[in-house]
Amino acid sequence: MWLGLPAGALVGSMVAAGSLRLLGGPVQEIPAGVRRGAQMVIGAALGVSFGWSQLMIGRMLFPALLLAAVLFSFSFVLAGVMVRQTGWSWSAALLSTAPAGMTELSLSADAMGLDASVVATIHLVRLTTVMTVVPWLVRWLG
Amino acid sequence: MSSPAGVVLVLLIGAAGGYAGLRLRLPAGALLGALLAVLLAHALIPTLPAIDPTIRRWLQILVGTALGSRVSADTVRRLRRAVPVAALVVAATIAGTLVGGAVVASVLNIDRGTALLASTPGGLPEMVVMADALGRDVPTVVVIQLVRIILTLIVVLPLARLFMVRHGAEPS
Repeated sequence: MWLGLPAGALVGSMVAAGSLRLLGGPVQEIPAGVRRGAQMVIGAALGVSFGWSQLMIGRMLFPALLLAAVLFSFSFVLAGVMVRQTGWSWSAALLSTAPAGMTELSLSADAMGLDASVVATIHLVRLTTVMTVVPWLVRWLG
Repeated sequence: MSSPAGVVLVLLIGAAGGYAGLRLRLPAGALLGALLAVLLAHALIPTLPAIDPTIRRWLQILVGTALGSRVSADTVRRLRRAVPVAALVVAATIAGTLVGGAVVASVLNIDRGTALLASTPGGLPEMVVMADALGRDVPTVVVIQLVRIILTLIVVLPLARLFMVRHGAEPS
């Protein structure tokens, strides 16, 4: 925040915790229960800051569908490239490139007998990179 | 409603909603359940107080720390096996986000920053917290992110299973 980074509290703490853990510092993975508790408080804090009328689900459905189609097309093409270049199965490639939650996709990979750790790692890299890059893009776009 | 009692009530409603969201297996159930429960309660009790922005900033730090703490030496070891793939996924994600963001901004006629946050496949809790931190339109980000996640899971999981049935589980 002091450096004036966009979303500095969020990105700065992510970079600091990740770096410290990689350097062997005294950082453990935050337990799922604590993460869920934080998400509940965030949900409550946001829920009281706006109203139903602002959700405008009907108006946003079409662009959301369009967006899902765009992102899914990118994922599908990318999965095809992965299958050709690496010899991975289509299932593993699709789960690694799908634009959805890391937890759901890596659990599904595990349930299908695929290497869930690689799927989770790719999503973690995607997530941390996006979290670092997107605030700058938002600031740049205005 | 007095502020401290009101804040406790908001948090209790949020906790109950979050628990229900987890039990119902909603995507990002803890956050979404709490959000929907408090939205409903706010419609019924308009005097519910807002949560102090300082608490929201500490929560941003907690979410960032939680994400960073998942990176470990194991992550780096596994990543070495999949560097080209991960690089491709990151590049395609950013390209897809920019294209998707432009589409959403033009269709909805909203600011490009909000559209980009709504279009970024970066996890519902993380993107909602980021939208809040950057002062963008949180309701728009919530709805578009949610529709995308649900659609992706509806399409991708059955498709991946179909490929499994047809081709088996080749090593990944």
